[in-house]
Amino acid sequence: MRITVPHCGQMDIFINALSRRIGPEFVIPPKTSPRTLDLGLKYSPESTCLPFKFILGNFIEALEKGADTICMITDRGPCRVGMYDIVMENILREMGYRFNWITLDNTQILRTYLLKFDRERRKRGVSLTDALRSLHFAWKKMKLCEEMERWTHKMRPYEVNRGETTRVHSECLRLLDGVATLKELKAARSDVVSRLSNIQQDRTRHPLKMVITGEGYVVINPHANQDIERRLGEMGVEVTRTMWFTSQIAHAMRVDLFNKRSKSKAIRASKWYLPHNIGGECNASVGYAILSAREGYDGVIQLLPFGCILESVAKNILRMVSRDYDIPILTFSLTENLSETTIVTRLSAFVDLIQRRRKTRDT
Amino acid sequence: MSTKVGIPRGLLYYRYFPLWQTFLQGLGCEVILSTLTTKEMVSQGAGIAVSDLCLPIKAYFGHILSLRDRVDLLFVPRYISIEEDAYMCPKFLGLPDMVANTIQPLPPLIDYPINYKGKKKTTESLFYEKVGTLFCRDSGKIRRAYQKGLERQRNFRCLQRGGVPFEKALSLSHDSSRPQGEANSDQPTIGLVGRPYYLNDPFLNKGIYEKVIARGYTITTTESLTETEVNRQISKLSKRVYWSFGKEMVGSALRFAGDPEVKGIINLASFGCGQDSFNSEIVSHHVRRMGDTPLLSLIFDEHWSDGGLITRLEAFLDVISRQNRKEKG
Repeated sequence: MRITVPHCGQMDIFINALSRRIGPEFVIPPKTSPRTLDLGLKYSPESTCLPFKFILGNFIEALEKGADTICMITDRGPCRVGMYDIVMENILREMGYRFNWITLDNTQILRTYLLKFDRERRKRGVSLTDALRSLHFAWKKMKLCEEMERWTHKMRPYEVNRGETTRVHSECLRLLDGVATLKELKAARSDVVSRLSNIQQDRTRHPLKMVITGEGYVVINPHANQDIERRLGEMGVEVTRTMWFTSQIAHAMRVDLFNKRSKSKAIRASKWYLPHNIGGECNASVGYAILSAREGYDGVIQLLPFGCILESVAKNILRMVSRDYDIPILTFSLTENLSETTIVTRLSAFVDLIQRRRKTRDT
Repeated sequence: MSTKVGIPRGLLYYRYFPLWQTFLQGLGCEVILSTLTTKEMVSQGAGIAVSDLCLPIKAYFGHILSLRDRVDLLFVPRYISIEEDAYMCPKFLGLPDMVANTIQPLPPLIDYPINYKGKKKTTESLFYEKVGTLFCRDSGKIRRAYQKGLERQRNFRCLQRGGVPFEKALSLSHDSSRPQGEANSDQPTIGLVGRPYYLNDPFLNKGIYEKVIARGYTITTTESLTETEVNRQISKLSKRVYWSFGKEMVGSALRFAGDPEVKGIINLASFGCGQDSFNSEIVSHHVRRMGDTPLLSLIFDEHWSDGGLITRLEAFLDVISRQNRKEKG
């Protein structure tokens, strides 16, 4: 069995770390590239959302690489993601690929998936404590990667040589790639910290502070949002991202009680505008915008795939939030046709606007 | 003076209006409807809504704009789900919030939820009880109004199942003595697949009914199926569609594809409708696999010219008549 999963945030690091120790064998799709999107576009129904197109592209490339089992999460509405599995399976089968399809349903995870996983473990002769230990390790490693990314968000606006943070960051990711034990992870962590703190910084700057929120997939994945965090960082903006792969998992497993910026808090904050929880990240997007306004951020950027059912509801309401809380909000509908120039123009206009706003406020 | 309750002529109006109207009138309210959708309404609605929303919602905003000065209350219920295993569109879940946060000033909204999902269930009868207490305290009167509404709704759906078009079914539904359809003609039948607010709004669907009928065909629609029939059809799929209208669309398409009487299927969808992008795909996948019934997928948007539509429709009907001739000859 050669399982493949779509790219989502740092999940590939988690899966790699896990499968190296206890199996089963995973085929991580090639890094999401323009070719991935082209493939996805070619075979997707025309008006589906952007994540669908990326994920289908991932699967096609993974099947080309020799995967024979596709694993995909699902949901029971109301978002479209719950129908991804049957639509994708039909498309891939019509293309002539042969594969097994596993749908991870949160109501069935215990019954089918964990049991399967356990059988695989026993077949390989790995003890249960070993399995749990590597699960713990994989989680830690993924956490560290996300933490690293958060550090780069904080540092980028201060860097003296533009692009240095990004370069050091990718060096650090390569360094982490070979790490296989908790002990090594600890050493790697201090190495990463020292490397990052060696970046030349100009601490006299006062960068703008912005929050990025919106639909999960496009917020988490730089390939889907055209690397918006790096671009903003290089324009001198300190970015705070509201959604991470680990935070989404933590929310789903209801273990994010102590997180100051948890999704549940955001959902509570949106009550005035959206008394009913609509699902997906709709309420959270509105809630995060409100929380950021209260915390004194300079602006909010909402990212959504064009036509996203849930986020378009939020988008409508965010205009009111922007007025009520007096905070600039940029809503960004992402499509496959978005060119780099469009993004840069819109972002720099938004940043300009906020900078001017700050100046008039200071004087 | 009786309270004026405004009902926008859009979205779920096309499914539940008989029930709403009879119920509200039974409580002594005056029901005020907006006019049929017009071009101005849609442009006004599109002007205030964000561009990502679908056409029916933009039209709905237009209806509210045209109503808001004339009424005391606006009826914008929050339909979350109408059955246990399916949701309505997420845009309906947030509809009152979108309306309240986009259009101002606005009369108070009647925005109680209907929800059959989760722990906090609000069934249909509970919903009408709540709405009723806004207007009178007499619970017996509320119950009677609701029962009368239900009866008319049943007649209305019965007529629709018999193939009576929307407007006619509305007026006939008052009379409970003959809830039956019209006699079938011998013209070839076309199956029309879509949501109620697409099938029945002549402006949004660019008068596709008349266009098809004028070319010598009769029409059967998604609304001619009973709930059980939809469920039976849908159970053939490997996974159930969890949107109420999506279920109806896919279920009716499967029925039409398996029915030799239906010579062709037209699938209506709206640009920017998140669900229809998948429903249409599922429909076309299964229709293709079930045989050679021709399928025409139409996606509607805010462009007004219908030249393209007529060209495609005629080409499609040509294919059907050629197929018919081949079968006969």
